[in-house]
Amino acid sequence: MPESDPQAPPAQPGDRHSGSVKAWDAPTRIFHWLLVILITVSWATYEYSEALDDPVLKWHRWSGLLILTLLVWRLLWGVFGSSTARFSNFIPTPRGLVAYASAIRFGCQPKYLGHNPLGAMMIAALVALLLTQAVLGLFTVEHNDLTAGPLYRYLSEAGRKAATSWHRFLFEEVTLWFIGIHILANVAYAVFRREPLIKAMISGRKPASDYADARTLGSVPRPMLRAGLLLALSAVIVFGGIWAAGGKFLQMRLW
Amino acid sequence: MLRSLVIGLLTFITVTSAVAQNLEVIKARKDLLGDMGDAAKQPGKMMKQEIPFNADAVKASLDVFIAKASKLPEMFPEDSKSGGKTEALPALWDNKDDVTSRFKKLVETAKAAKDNVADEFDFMDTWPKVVGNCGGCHKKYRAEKK
Repeated sequence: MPESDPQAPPAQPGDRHSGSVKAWDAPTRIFHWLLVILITVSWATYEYSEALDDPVLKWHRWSGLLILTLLVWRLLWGVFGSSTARFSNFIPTPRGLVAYASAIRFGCQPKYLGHNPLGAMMIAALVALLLTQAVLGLFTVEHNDLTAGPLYRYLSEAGRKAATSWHRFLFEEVTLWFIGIHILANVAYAVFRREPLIKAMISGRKPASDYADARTLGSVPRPMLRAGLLLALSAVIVFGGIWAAGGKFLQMRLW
Repeated sequence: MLRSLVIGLLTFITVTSAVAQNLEVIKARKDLLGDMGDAAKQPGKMMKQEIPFNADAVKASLDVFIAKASKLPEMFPEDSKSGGKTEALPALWDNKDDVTSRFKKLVETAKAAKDNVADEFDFMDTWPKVVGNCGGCHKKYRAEKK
């Protein structure tokens, strides 16, 4: 399906997308919701491993590896993807961040088709946190010594315990808070600013408006094919990297 | 003055004897749990393919589990909720029946496992079922280690 140009003129009456413009490409949206699902799966498969009869946490470890693959893909997509997904287009300068935060105080902040500067910082923080979390998982040891992340042997026993402890601490005490703030901020924008950010992450479109970042926008050709190739590359980087580093995928058989 | 001293002394003796009693049982159960932790180390290394599978070593570990876990249901009296660096959470005493049944299940699973660790493949399937009982209990009733 061809991507519509965010800079295209407003849609005409009768147009299926009348009054809206393209904001997020399909790969970015699929990434976002897959990540939501996999984070939930990772939490549930750890928390309810006993009920799932999975003491070796194979589902949790698979989910973690898939999250790591997705995050590597997101880094690549931040360089080779569509304009609103590119880091160079949305990571703000300190001055831009302060200007946006100041504008919020006076209720006159500009609208962005992609991430606004504060939202961009949240996305960068979440990606960094989840990457750290996922990489730590490669070095953790299950607390009954039943199984371990594929690279656990590269750390001393004390190092593994520290990695395991941080793996859990980061999620429960830091990442969950960031996720909560991220959700609340999106709801607040929808309620108080009438900017349907959550809906846009589903449909890919935002209401036509005077967006501050409109001049930098543009889509890439064949985004799904490009995303698929980058996903394959991400899988090679993650699984191939672990394998090349001598990692062991212990008890990962699902059936 | 004398009466205050006597009351203070009696209170001190009562409190310290109660704490001493706590410490005794807390230490005893920590030792039992520690022995089980030590017994799990060799099979843990076998699970992670760090050392070769050894059926006799696994059975010896299972014997430790059976012996120690059998004693544990009696090791959580009401006066052992705190002190002695116990890691047991208060929730444990609110769910004593669950805790007791978990220790019984651990013993039964360990007994059954002794007949089912003849080779490495059986061991890989069986050992997680035994030690998985520990993990479920720790998640609910043991304080997170810092």
